[in-house]
Amino acid sequence: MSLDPQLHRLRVASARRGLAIVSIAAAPMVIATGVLAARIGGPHAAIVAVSLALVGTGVVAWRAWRGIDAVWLARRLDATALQMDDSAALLFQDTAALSSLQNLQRTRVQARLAGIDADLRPAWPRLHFFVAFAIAAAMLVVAALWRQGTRGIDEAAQANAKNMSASTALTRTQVGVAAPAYTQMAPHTEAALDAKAPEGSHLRWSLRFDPQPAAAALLFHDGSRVALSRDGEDWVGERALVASTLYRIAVEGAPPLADDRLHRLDAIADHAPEIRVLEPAKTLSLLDAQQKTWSLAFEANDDYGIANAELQITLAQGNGENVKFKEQMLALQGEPAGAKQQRFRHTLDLAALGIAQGDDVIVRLAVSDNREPVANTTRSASFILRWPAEASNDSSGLDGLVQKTLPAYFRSQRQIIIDSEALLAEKPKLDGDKFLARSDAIGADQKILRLRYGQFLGEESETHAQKEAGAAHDDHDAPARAAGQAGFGSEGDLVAEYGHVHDIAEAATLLDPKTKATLKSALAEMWQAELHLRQGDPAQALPYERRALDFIKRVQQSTRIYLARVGLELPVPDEARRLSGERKGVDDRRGTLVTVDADATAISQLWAALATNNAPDWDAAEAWLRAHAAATPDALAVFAAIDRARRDPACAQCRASLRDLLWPMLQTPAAAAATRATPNAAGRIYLDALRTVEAGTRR
Amino acid sequence: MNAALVVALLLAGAVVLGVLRTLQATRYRLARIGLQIAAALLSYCCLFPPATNEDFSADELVVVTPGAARAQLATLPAAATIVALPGVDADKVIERVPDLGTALRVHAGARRLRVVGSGLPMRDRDVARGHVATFAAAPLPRGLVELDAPASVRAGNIWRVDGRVEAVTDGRVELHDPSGAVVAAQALDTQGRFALHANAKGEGTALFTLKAFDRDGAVVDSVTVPLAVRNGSPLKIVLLAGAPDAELKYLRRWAADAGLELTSQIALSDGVALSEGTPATDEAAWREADIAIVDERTWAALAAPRKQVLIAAVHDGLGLLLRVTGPLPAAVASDWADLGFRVRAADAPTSVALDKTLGLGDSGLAFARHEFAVEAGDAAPLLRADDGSALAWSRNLDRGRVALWLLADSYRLALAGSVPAYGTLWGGTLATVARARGEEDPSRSGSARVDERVVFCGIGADAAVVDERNTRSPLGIDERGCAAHWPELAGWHALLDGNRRWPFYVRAHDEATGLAAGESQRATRALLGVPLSTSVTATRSQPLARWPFFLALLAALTALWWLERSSAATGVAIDA
Repeated sequence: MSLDPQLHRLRVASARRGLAIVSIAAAPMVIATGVLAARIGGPHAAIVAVSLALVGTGVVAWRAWRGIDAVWLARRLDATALQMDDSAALLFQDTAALSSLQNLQRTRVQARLAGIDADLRPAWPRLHFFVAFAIAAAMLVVAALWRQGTRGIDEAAQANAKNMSASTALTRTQVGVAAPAYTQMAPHTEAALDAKAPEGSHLRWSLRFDPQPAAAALLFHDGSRVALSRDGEDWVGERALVASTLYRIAVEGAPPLADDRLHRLDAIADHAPEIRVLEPAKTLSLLDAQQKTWSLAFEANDDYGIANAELQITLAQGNGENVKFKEQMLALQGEPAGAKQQRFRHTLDLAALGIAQGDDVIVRLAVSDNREPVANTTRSASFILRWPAEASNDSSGLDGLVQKTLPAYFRSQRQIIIDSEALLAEKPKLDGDKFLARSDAIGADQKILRLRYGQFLGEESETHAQKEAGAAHDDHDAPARAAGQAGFGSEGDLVAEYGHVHDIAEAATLLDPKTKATLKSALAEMWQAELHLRQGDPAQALPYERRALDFIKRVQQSTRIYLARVGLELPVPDEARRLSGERKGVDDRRGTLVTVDADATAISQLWAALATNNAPDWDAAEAWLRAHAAATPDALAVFAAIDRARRDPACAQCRASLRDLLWPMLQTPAAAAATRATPNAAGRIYLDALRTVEAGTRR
Repeated sequence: MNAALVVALLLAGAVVLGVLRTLQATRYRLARIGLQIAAALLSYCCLFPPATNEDFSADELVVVTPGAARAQLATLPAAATIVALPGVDADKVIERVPDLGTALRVHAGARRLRVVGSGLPMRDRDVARGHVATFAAAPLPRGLVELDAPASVRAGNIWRVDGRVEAVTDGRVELHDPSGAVVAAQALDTQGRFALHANAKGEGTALFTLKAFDRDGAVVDSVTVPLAVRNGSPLKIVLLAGAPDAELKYLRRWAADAGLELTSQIALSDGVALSEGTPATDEAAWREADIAIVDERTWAALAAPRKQVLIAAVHDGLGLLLRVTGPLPAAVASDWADLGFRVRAADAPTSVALDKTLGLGDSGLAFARHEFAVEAGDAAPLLRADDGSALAWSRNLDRGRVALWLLADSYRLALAGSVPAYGTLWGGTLATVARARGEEDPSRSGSARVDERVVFCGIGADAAVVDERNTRSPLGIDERGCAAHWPELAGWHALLDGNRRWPFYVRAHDEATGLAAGESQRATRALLGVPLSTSVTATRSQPLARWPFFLALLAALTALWWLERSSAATGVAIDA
């Protein structure tokens, strides 16, 4: 059904008014909701809250629009215009469905409608508006009073945002790294301003700023400066990386950079080559008569490759003071050529060298890498090939130069066990007397051994026992025994020379009490072993022998020789002689104690100031650090941290991390003493009462 | 006339009326009358349910604390009065109380508390004192549950942190300094205990980290160990010795390095001495000094009046440390006996170890003790060797203190590289013996946490707390000089009193929860004791539940309705 145009106009006007009312009432509420949510939950919460509020407003507005319908219009017409005779509803009904009387009335009303100039729009609801604004104001007050802390963060964020807008941004950063040619590393570009590159690399910065500055430069930590030149949109600068350093980008004619912290360049040092000697295995080898050649093998590796290797061969001829040296250098070719790790092999032709008996050949390998401008060179240890000189009679007193002076006596107990076991194995073949004789001989060996150990404990030494032992030798172990004796003799001399052997067991101070106790147990076992051996019963002696060996092993493992500690025991002063000496010219000495002056005070002051909110003395700390950079591990990191904390005083995290970096540099002061607290009133009364009681008991 | 009677009378009247009316009906008469009486009875029971008697512990209150395990909640006695403190996570319907004080006011008869869970929080411990009868502790979480570290140490001293790791076998702990380096490490013992030693640096605050690892080296727990270091006080030492020795060399060196005011006189011969400062032995000098260190040779050489002056000064507050360096002359021994130390015949020095005492680990260092039989009477041991034998004693002499020192060669510590241990040993000794002129530090209850009460005692009227943002919170101090504070922020705080400052660290609420659980468990255990009253078993009448009566009433009314409806229907049918 089509409406009368006038009615339609009235309806649209009313609906618009309804929408306006909803919008005016909702606007402050939506805004306040947004602000409150931003305060409480941050920007995300604000977006969500405002969206919800807008959806709610939309629903209300839609209902308001739909609410202005025919029924509403009819009622409104009836209410505002008396001429409508409460029959405005007829205007909205189909004429066909109406009775004749209704039709008549409808026509009348329709005619009157044309003459009515009614304003049907709903009135402005002042009270509703007031309530809406009041609620919004209340929400804003709550938002304003919301916790201080969160506001601080907000403000900081806003301030940050403000700074961001007032600073120059780096829109493109590129650092081209061209490592030295000898490293054979391809040039590459890095997007970060912090870079790690081989020492001697050539760095090329290409930066783009927004807005464009008038000039730009790189300021290095050592005070040097690289001016950047304009190249189209980019600013370009170059520098060789000699040592690790820090730098900062500085711009002129533009606001400072948003991120103007120090950047770090790490120079990776080229290490010297490492040499491993594969052959010969020992530094001193002895030439035997048949040997015609001496084969040498080395392995070397370097971080960027090996340039060359030279073998230095020295022939030392002659003996005594008449030694001649012949030296020659030989370049070696490594395999695989050009690799970072190479093997070098060479076989020395001894005949060609002209080595004779009594001569030494000394070789040494020097390997250089291809570092520029100065190569790193490593030299191996020297290796000696010796053709031993013929033994001459007058040197018989000296042990061989390479003879191992192993304390033979530690082996002898094992030998006794071996002998005993051999004897037992042979027992069926031997007749009784012979068996007893051999058993007795082993028993004699056991006795010698016991006496030798006894010496260490300060027991009586039976020097004749050695002779007896020599007489009692069995043939089969003679060489071992002889070697043992020679070794033992030298050890015994050592004890006599440096030790403190007395005939009193307790005064033998060479061994600590525990070792001494172990040794004593070993001697006891040896006694038992000897007993059974002498009685011709090696089978019974064996367990004792084994136990003795076990104890000796333990002694051997306690490697320390213990010299008894002598405390500071001042001798009792002889009062008769005391202070009777000549004291002329002997005077008091005063003030010999010099106080040490603490060196790292600047650092400890900085450390202390960082904990509080005081302004630290940055310059003093930096000056100290500059002076002690070499002694400080990773001084650059400390410099960078100082710079960060200094530039951003509000950054608590920067201060804390700098403090942690400074910790290892803090000196440990001498342990300080405290004073005990003065007793309070009750304590004083107690002490006074104690005095009275004491005085009472004394009386 | 009470409500029950009125209701009963009304119901009785209603029943009578109903019965009279039902008597005129033709069908189901008896059934209807019975149902009417039943309905009346049931509605009475609905309003006034009958009571039963049950036994219960009249004065017992079961307090469920946070951390109570589910198994513990399931086994709570049904007949007991149960309350739950805030933070208890239970499905069961338990009466919730804001704190224990409220619970005790509500249940005024409660005298004995049965605590269930991980223990009473700090705020409830004072109220619970003398009431806790039993404590069913919840199992502790895995990780660090106990940590004992000093609130503050003096600069350069060795400090010790010990504690316990729960439920980790064959684990180890590491102490990391603020830069992340490991300063001490130790394997856990069978109970999970450990004790680590570290060296303090200069004045200031630092955060160490204690990490616990399990057998495979995985981190089990990591806890911040806050350390506040304070400067020492410059003690005035007067050192008198009859002969130079190694101990004096290192003692003087340490005193000079530690900033102590040392005057010393070490006799070299008659009238020849090695001296530092201007040592004087008159009354005025002793009044100035804090401690006198004297050996037996000096004592023998001191004139009688000078000795008297010295002893009088000790009575007046001076500290006196008597060093034994050799055999005691009889005169000296008798003088020292008057001071409280009966020292008899010297023997050869014996070797003692101090590894455990000084926390040196397994250093193997051996020290010599001058072997004397000492009858120290009322003196307290000042230093003990690892085997428990005393190496030094000290006793009060009026305001002052006298100590006897038998350790011959503590300088070995310095020689072995443990200079801090040497300084800590002597610093501690001198602090104990020297003149009392320090101020009492305020005490602080337990460890501080965000939003939990921390109590300070022994503070002045203008004391306040500042946090890391420099926000100053004044304290409300009661008549005993104590004040409580609820920190709002985690991190370092400082208690300010006058111009003095004591830093303390506040942990975040969710930091080191294992430690918090362990602490409240130990504190609650400490509250356990003989309760003020013995258990009283009483009988109380408990009204039965109403809902069965209500359901029965509903059933009776339904039956009545149905009977009356059908009889009415038949009545209508007859009428029709």
